[in-house]
Amino acid sequence: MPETASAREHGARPGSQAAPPPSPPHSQPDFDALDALPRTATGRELWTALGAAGLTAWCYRDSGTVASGVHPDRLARVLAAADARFAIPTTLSASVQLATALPVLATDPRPLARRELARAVAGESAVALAATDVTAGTDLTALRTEARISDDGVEVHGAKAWIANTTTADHFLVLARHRTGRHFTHFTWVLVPADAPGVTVRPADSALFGSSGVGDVEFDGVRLGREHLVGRTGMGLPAFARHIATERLAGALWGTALCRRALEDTHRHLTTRAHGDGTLWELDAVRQRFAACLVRVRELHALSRQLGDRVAYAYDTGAAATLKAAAGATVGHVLGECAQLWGAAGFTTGGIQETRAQAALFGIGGGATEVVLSAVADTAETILAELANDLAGPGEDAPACGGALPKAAATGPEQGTDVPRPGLGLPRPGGGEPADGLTCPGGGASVWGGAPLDVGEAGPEQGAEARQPGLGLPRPENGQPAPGGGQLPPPARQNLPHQRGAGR
Amino acid sequence: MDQRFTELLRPFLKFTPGGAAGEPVAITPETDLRALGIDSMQAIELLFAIEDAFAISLPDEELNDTTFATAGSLWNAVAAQLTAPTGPVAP
Repeated sequence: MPETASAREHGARPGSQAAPPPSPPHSQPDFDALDALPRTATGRELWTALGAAGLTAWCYRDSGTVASGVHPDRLARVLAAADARFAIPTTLSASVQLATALPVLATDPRPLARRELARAVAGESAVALAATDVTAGTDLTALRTEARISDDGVEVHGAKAWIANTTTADHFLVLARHRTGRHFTHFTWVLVPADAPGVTVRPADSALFGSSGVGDVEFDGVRLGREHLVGRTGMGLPAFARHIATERLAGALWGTALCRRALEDTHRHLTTRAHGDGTLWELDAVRQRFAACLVRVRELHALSRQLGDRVAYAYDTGAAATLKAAAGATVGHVLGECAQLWGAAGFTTGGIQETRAQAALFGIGGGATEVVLSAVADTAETILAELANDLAGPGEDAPACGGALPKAAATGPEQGTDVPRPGLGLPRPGGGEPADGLTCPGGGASVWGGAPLDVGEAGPEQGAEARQPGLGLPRPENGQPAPGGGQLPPPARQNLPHQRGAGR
Repeated sequence: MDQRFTELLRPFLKFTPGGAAGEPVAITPETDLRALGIDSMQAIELLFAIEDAFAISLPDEELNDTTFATAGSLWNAVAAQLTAPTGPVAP
């Protein structure tokens, strides 16, 4: 298989980890290792247990090769298993490492990164993804943390805020600028040991997210060897853009599990809570509100199934933004409704009201809802073209959106072109150039580890996504994508080209 | 500039009629990539697309705003890798 640019984010190749991870389960893992933990387990305790049981490795394709990318079904199962047992901050701690921190670290094939990656996969160490700066997370290209690179090494100056795993991490994977200015090539990752001289960690003042190890970290002239640079110099933002997409997918997968769990608990409450001669569940108003939540969570689940592989296998950032926007809205709605249906009982310690407050994270971390909606808007033409293609059905030519779609954009999932189609040639309303430096007031900090903003400059252009219509890929049991979006009969799934990034 | 390069580049240029109604605008070495719609995210995807299509890795010293300023400057960086002694990355 030819090496791809993704694999060349720093020359990483599948199988580049230093040592084989703990043997991952094959198809039916048991989660006994998680059952052995108390429900109050911290994120670090969960991370250790996942690694020791081989469950972290199990989340990645090619027998646990992080550089190959996540296996979305397995990632979903692990997140659901964690969510069923532990509080949101604890699962958050693992989610951000599984989806983003480890894949970013895996872009570097050199010995230090390989060694630390292997330790992290084994649960022997934890890695905090330190992207969000003290500046607004919605304005990522304005981040101030510097990596002063010389022939002798690298010196890190700056601070990061609201970073998950800060108080428990062995290393910080720090996104820093090595040049002034906003250009996307001015940023680089640095792997900073938490015990390096000049590193100061402070826990965040948060009663809701303490068990995630969330906090702030300062780097005061932290001097390291050049081997601590991760990935190609200047490829920090490209690597981030790719792998924050996986974190957004993880948010949708986890959000579905969280909603299901909350609804199950709520259903149990409603069917046992006396009201009149029966229970609350017999009230039409209650049933309808609950049913509306079921519809919402089914929508999110279906969307995850439709778009998940496009993110996991093809790094489709537009699909990731769609999933993130849906997850934020759905989780907020469902948890809010559940909290209302629980009544006063929802205010118990650890009850649904606490969960609801923590679940607000789904609309903020990893890309605030407003930010990802802007990214979705940037893909409007592509989404409309895909819908038109789907509605036209097999063998039909889809009507072009606005009469202006390039051929490739209307070919649908079966075509599997490798070339991103970022623009459809349609002028923006108002035209003109994007304005740099705008921020999104809905952004906020990212305790998911990643900045909530895409890396675009600002305004309508912010976070413009790759247009890769037609990459909806079903997953057979072997975890490899088979093009066709799950819509093709089995024979048609065969002999179709794998998508960009597949199998890596 | 290589035709494959300009064809790869064209879909990223949102503010030209290329790929939409009307005749495609000619892409010249002076074509200003930013002015024609390539923002940061687009440029990131363009970079990945180029490295995939030509099986090259742009060297670190070419990862800068000057390289991504015009079609010509970007092509020059790509062409230098295609003619470099090591050539494109082997499949």
